[in-house]
Amino acid sequence: MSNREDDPQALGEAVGSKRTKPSPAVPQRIDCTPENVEQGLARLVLSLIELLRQLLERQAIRRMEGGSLSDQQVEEMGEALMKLEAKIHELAANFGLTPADLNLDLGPLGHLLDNKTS
Amino acid sequence: MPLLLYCVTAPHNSTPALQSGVGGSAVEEVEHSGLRCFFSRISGPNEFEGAIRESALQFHAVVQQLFRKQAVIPFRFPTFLQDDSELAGYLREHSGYHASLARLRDLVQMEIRISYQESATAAPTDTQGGESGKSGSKYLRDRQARKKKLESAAEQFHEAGHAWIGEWRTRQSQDKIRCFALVNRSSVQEFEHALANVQVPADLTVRITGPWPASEFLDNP
Repeated sequence: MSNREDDPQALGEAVGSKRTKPSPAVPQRIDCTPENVEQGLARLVLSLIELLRQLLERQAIRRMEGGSLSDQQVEEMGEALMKLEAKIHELAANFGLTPADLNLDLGPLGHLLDNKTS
Repeated sequence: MPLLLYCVTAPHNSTPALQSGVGGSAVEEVEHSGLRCFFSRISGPNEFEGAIRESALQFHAVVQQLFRKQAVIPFRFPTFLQDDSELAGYLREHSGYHASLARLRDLVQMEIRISYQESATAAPTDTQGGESGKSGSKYLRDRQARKKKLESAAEQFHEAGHAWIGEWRTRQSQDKIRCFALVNRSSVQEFEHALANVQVPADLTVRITGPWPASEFLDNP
């Protein structure tokens, strides 16, 4: 069940998860074709909206578990979050993006949509 | 010439004879501020243009060679510094790594990644009303159940390996949870053995990897 240095996927994940800071000396390459700029901007905006949506969803689940929401409120919140998710996926698809593309790699900080606990 | 950084270790440890580094470059080392840093002189990221995967594996091979004998703090690939003086400045600024390396000296990181299988991940959606025919409350309760299932599976692994785990951290997203266990280097086999019998629901897949450098457990990444 364990994978070590002979497993390219595990290696890729491990290499990509190192925690030390990247150097500012690494040149950042920007592909500036009009189509890619548009896709990059869409990715950034949709990622932030998806982050907010997930935060709202977690809060809604916490409140539902805490019993502070009526059945009607649970229904309305759930429906709003469900529709918002579908719309985000639809917009992402229009720009050639998958839901996984919205989980931005923030380097030493991990991925945007990961919730870290200890 | 820019320096491609591999990792930082404690000083004065015996170093294994290193094979060549990324792109066949020589691996050099320097000691400064109580730290030892391993690096190669490379003209820049363009040098491994088109061979990024191969270069990443070569990078990892160097780090892994050093990690077999001691605790290391690896750099993210590719991390460059401009020259030796910038490296000295970096090590001076991060002299706190010394305490982390001492703390993690005999410890390694094991990762347990639990995720929903592809078929369980892709929920049917329509663009108007979200998941087909689903009510809002059912949507929220399904999400709650999925989250709990992941957390519960993670807890099973935590309990199974409890005797060998020094620290435990998790990173959760919608469809997966990554658990990181800090384990003594000499206990990896027992830890793996303890986890081998854990049963998870059929719609979850589990990957256990390691040992890795204890990157998730640094005091100040």
